[in-house]
Amino acid sequence: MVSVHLQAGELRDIAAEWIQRYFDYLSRGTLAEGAKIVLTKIPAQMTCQTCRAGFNADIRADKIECPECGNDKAVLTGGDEFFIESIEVI
Amino acid sequence: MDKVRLIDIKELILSDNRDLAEQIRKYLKDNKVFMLNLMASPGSGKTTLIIETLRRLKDKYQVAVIEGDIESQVDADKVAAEGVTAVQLRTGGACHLDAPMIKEALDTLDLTALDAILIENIGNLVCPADFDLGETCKAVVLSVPEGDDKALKYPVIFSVCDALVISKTDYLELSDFDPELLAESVRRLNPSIRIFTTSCKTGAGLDEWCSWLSDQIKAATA
Ligand SMILES: Nc1nc2c(ncn2[C@@H]2O[C@H](COP(=O)(O)OP(=O)(O)OP(=O)(O)O)[C@@H](O)[C@H]2O)c(=O)[nH]1
Ligand SMILES: [Mg+2]
Ligand SMILES: [Zn+2]
Repeated sequence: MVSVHLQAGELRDIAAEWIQRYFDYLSRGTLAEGAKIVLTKIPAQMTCQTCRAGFNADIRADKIECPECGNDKAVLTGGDEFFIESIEVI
Repeated sequence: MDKVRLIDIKELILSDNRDLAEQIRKYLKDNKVFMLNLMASPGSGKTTLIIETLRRLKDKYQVAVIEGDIESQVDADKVAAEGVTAVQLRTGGACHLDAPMIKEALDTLDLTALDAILIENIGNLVCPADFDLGETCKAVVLSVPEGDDKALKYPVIFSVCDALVISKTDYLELSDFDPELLAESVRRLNPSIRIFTTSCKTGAGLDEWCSWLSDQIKAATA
């Protein structure tokens, strides 16, 4: 196994360096030993309650507003994903 | 050199927890039992709120409590002193409860004799938010001494909960904590969240919280 491609939403508190460290420990002596973990972050998605526009949001920002209409009423619609996209093997 | 092949996996991590949580949700529904997952940081007043809630609801409903702690069973003992069944889960270090632990606790309870189960999760504002327990509702407690900026620092837990209890409001006069500011930052992430301001010392807001909880229990047991 050469690499493992993970996708994690911005809402998941995933620390890439820790995942690699734990993976290295757990994979010792298995086919997965030495594989690199490649983590791709998926932005938090919100949908505006006023104009229904979908947009990527920085949920740690002081203010979140719709880039289309400027309204600040929006609901979270994505960003909690956490899955293995693919693996690369020889 | 051997060729590198890419294999599509598209497998959810934590899918085993999610699948078991869905089974638990169905099991509760079949037995018409409501379950609350109460989350908060250590010392924010989870146990105290549960005790005050039990005092107001235990004559109306058959309630049991699942207490999650890393060590000890002091919280379960406090619940038992109220004459309410308590199951203590000791995680021995794990910083959150997960669906397999809840399954184990539910196996010790007779669901046909219950209306509601209150779960006190491990004191932590981060990891519990990621683990579905199969609950009917999630609630988070935030106490006044913790500060009104917590939704900005721990956005996930506030975005996944059905209710927020701002606790220890008797400390408000000693503090610069602004409940409106917190409510605003929480509603930005989660516009439909119900927000209660309570003090277990003065009793303020507890009836509103219990009346909301009572409505949720009624809906689940109907
Ligand atoms: N002044 C005041 N103190 C409170 C209130 N609610 C809880 N406390 C106190 O806060 C302390 C912690 O309360 P607990 O209910 O044990 O908190 P917890 O969240 O269950 O704590 P852990 O289980 O250890 O994470 C205790 O000394 C309580 O008496 C309140 O509304 N006002
Ligand atoms: Mg407690
Ligand atoms: Zn808009």
